[in-house]
Amino acid sequence: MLEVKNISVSLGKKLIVDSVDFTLAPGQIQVLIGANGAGKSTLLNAISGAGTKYEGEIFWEGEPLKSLNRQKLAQRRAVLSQEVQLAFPIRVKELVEMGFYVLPHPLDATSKAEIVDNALNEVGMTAFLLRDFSSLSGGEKKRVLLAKCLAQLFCSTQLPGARYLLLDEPFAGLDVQQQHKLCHLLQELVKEHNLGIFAIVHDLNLAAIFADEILFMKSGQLKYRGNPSEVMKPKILSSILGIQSIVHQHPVYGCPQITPILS
Amino acid sequence: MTQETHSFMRLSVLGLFLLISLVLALFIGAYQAPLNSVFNALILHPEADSSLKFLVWSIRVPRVLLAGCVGAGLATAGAAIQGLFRNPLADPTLIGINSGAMLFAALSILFMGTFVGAISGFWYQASISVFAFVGGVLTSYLVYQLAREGGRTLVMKMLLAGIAISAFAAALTGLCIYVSDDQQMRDLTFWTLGSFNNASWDKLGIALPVTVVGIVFLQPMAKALNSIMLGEREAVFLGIHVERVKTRVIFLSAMMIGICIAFSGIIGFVGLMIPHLIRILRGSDYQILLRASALLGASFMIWADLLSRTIIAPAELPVGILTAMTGAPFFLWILMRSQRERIAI
Repeated sequence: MLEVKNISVSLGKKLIVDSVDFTLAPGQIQVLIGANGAGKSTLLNAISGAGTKYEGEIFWEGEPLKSLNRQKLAQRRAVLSQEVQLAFPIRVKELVEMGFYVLPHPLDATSKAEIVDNALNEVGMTAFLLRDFSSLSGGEKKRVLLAKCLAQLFCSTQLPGARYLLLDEPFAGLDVQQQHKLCHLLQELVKEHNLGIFAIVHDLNLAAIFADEILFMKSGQLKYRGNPSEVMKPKILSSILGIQSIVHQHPVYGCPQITPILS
Repeated sequence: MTQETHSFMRLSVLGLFLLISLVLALFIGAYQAPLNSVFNALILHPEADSSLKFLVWSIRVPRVLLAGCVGAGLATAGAAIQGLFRNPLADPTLIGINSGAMLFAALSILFMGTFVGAISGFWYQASISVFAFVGGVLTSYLVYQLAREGGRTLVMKMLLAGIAISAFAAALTGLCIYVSDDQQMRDLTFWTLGSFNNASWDKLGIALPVTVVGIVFLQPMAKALNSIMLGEREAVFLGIHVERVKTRVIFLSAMMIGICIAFSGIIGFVGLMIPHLIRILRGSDYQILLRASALLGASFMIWADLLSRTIIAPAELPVGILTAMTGAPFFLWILMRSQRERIAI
């Protein structure tokens, strides 16, 4: 369980994240939605433990974030960034193996190869093992980075408890087919490994298909929280994102389907 | 073959090359003696010619070993700094080491010559070394401090501060040159061209431990440097203590490069060229890159020095000229190659 209790983050005198409370259970996909500047990325940074100073308490599987050591935290949660700019050419294999850096002791070659193989297999990129990362397409890069996150989360057998993925706009920059493939892949991973996912997503319709629970954020505060059919309503969307919209039921998935209209 | 034995094999090839270079460099020199008499001198055979013994043991051996140390130090520090700055064009100049060392060397030449007056040649040389080391480490520390903000080191700010401080140091060096006399100017110029002319056991006694300590302590940073290739944030997400790594890498590199510059003057392009060559041959994995750069850097410098002392024997060509002459075209070749293969520079 990830427990976020009364978190506030300020930048100078400005309050960016304002008394946010929520919990994320293993096996759950939680999506954070809000306009630009609502404080979503700052919130994600704070819970990731990347050095953002915050007030309040964050607990990862019962352990306070402030007293968790870096390696242990990194075995517990992985972050899939929006984009990674490589400084030097590097092979897919080497990149995925970086997931093992969260271990205090090096792994033996056989287990390394096995974990890398499994991780690439899960994301369907086994054939790309020896390819140069920079030669891949956007969707392929994303899947390799996801494989690195999986290697990072599942290389340690010693750490008990659930594992979590934090996703910073995972669907941004992908074409429609890749978006849906990634959405499906992430849902499968959650089922298979009982992962907890916390994601920032801008596309409302993708979010509605993807999420078990949606958090709406505005001016640093969490305003609404619930499953997509509960909270994806024209009135809420208007107050959070300032858009007029018509909400239907998705003919296949049954989740809400949002059609924004110009007001 | 497992990955570990594979990388071990690759490193042994470079190690073997270094050993061969070392032995060859000991046997070849401006003074041409038959190989077997050099061998006898090397093993201190009782019947060996005593002047040859002196030449080999007091001049050639420390010189070749110092060249190896300097090459290894420059190449390893270059590789580490490229990784830290996430920039294949990064070199020690960026953090102000060279310009600081040069300014302090100029000051030393000027003041030791003018004010302290008739000091002996040894102390004159020694003071240049000490000043250059202090200058290099001081300026890089200054640049590092300027780039600190709220407990973090901002790499971009460090780059810009490095450029500004280097320009300022260069201006002061220019001032020193302006007020210096002809002999001082010549000394300074020769110093900036780099040479192992003044190699001695004393210098080796300092350079060898510093280089070894530097390389040994940089090696545990290899994984961190790998993860920084993805970006500092990504490294933090992988549980790497990025700020601690930055401080250590900068400190160790400044120390190694400072010693190199102090004892051999400014030798350019090695720190840039050798890590690139290894990247092309072996890839960018720092777990291999650092050690491989040290081995190849040492071999390269031994060959460059061998060439510099034999090519126009009995005179000597400053080794910095040779490294720049081979380094610059090589660098252009990398640029062309990277354009063809779309490697990001």
